Amino acid sequence: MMSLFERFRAGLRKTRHSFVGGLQRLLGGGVKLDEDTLDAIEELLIGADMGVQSAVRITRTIESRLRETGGEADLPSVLRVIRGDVRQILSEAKPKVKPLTWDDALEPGADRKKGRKIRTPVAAEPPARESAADVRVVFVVGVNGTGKTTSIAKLGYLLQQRGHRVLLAAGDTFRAAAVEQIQVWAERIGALCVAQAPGADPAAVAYDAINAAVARGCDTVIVDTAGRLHTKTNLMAELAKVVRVIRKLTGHDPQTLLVVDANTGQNGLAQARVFAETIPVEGLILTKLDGTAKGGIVVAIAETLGLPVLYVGMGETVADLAEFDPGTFADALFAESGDV
Amino acid sequence: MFQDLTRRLEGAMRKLAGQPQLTEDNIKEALREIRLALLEADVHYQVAKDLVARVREQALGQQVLQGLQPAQQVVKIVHEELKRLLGGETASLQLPAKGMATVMVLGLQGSGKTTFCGKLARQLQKEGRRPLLVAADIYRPAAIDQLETIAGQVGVPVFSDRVKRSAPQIVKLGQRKARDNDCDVLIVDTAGRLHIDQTLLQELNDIDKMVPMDEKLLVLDAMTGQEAVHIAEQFAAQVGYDGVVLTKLDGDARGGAALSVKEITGKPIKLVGVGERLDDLEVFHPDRMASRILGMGDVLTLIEQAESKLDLDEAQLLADRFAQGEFSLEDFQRQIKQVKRMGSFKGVLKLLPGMGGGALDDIDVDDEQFSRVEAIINSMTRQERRKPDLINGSRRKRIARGSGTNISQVNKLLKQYRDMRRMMKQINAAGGLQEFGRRVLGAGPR
Repeated sequence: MMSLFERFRAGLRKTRHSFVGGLQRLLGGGVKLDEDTLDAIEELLIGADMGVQSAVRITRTIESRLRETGGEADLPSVLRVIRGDVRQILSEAKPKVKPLTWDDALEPGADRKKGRKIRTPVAAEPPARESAADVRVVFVVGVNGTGKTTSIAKLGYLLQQRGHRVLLAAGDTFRAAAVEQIQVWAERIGALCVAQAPGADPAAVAYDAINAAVARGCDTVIVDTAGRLHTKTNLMAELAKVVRVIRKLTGHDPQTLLVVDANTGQNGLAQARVFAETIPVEGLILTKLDGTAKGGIVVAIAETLGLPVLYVGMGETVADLAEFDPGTFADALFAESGDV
Repeated sequence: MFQDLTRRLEGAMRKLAGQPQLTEDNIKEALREIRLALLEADVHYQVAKDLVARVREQALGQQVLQGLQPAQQVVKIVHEELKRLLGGETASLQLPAKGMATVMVLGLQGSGKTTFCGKLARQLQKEGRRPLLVAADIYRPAAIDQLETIAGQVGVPVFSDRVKRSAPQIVKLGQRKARDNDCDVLIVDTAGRLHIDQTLLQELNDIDKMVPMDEKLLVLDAMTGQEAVHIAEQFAAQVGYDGVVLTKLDGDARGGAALSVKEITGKPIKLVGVGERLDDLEVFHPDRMASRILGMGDVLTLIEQAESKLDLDEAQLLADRFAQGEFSLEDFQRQIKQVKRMGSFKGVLKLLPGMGGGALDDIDVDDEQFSRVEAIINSMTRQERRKPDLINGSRRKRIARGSGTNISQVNKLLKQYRDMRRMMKQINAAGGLQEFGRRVLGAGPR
């Protein structure tokens, strides 16, 4: 069994190769830190999908740190700054965006235009079903094709390994054969699965699933959803409804996880922002981190929106999901030796 | 599509407005903005760098064109470069007209291959061909079910095999079934695979060897980041393909992938996926896309839409009545029907020049307003529609009740109608639309 660090290293092999390799070629045994060098470092960071804003800021940090020590730049010193910076961004991420609530909208002088957006009311009432209050509900959302259903299977497996009793809710009632897909997975990992007919209301599926969990003694429900582009307002409103229904039944917010494909470019930022503005997102599952993907977008998301990465998917089998560790990730991505 | 890029470039260009000529100095900031905009749009950094260098070279080397503002001049240069980058001409599928055509669809996991297969089948079916779908994804759970469901929705036959056979064998059997069923296009849906997975890439070559493919299409998610070019390169080197399909372009992805792929691999983008419905597949038009990026509006798409969806005789009739100043509520009703046929009003507006970027973000165009207006007009008698001046208080009350609205909404509509009629009279008195444009806007053709 590989350690987490080794798995991260393997998953980020390609990115590390091109990034550290590029940096090595640029810096060689040590160069004067001039504008061209900084531009080239910035380009390498952008090439890892970290986004212009984060890349520019990290480059500035490198500049100011190295100026203090005489303006000489070599591979270890530059990597050290980047590693520390990325580790800090990822580990200090605290959600900065919250969905608009009814309370915001009712505040005098609240922006009228904002008031028109989807609102998720904050529930102060007790749960509709006392026994449902103890069920942990994980709500998995994301745009199309990021790997939600596969991640749910992996997460379900991980939690079952730790002794939880998991029930999967087939909340993707839209895509052809999505229900069959999650049922196959549920069977493989030995979890229960609650499904309704295609086209059913996902909120109703979640409601049923939580009740079924109570009845059958499961402590965790993982709710799947149909992939949706964050620009489709009506589909985003549907998510808010599912959250409201879950909250009403259990008396608390579900733990919402946004699934982001590690190949995603800067659009990942727009995705994360809109999802987090619609429902309370706790963190990300970064998927397909399997050798080639850059994954740099999570740095931009953590820096701009404060959303932390909680889990990472790194392969095709159910065991290929790990809890995220910012330090290990930063070390693996910017390790000095480019080889595995 | 490409909305944010448009906004950024417009911003950079505004800074150039009013400058007497292009110099190294005043163009520098605009070029930096263009570069950053391209990078934020996920354009490959090498491609962005080259593009900016070419734009700089051309802008500086060029004489300031007479009658063209420097800003416009740069826009023109960037536009030309973008157009070139996006692939120059529109590329279409090359399928033999006779015999059985074969198409293989490949790409990473989650890029949208299966959905695209369904859309392609629908489109070919519309063109009079008889496609058969082959489920060659034997790995992902329920992938076969998904393709079968989609085939059912399109109404085309599908071949699948749940016995553990290899993908090439399945394709071979699918070809046989297509022949037996008198089908003339074979569309093969393959499993998602990584561009570095040698074993699975070999499987694609094995399929191609077993049943030679006329078109191999790489499906690429429009939201892909810097890796897009590498993906496109690897698939080209290991398997080879004839064109790219860009999916999920209905989101707000800036689609820099589209900009880079053709430039680096030389493979054209042939089709784009623009929605979740099976009809949401469009031909990729490089020239239009370049215009759109620069906020020049996608007028060609609008015209095409107008041509295919508008009733031209009706439109001519309306124009005539408009010219005669005899515009009744009956004509207004027809006009609303025409606009509705073109889809959502906001969708139409977006295609107009200057309406790209964020221009429409804050405007809430309510398509339901049209339905309301229609309901009000429908609740009138024919006489009332022809002579709206007849409509008195009690008629108003009746119309409001009949249309499920209230009197103030009816009044609003009548006022809008009267304003419109008055404007039309002014236009006609001034000597027609063109003359009106010249007088009121100080513009228009001379």
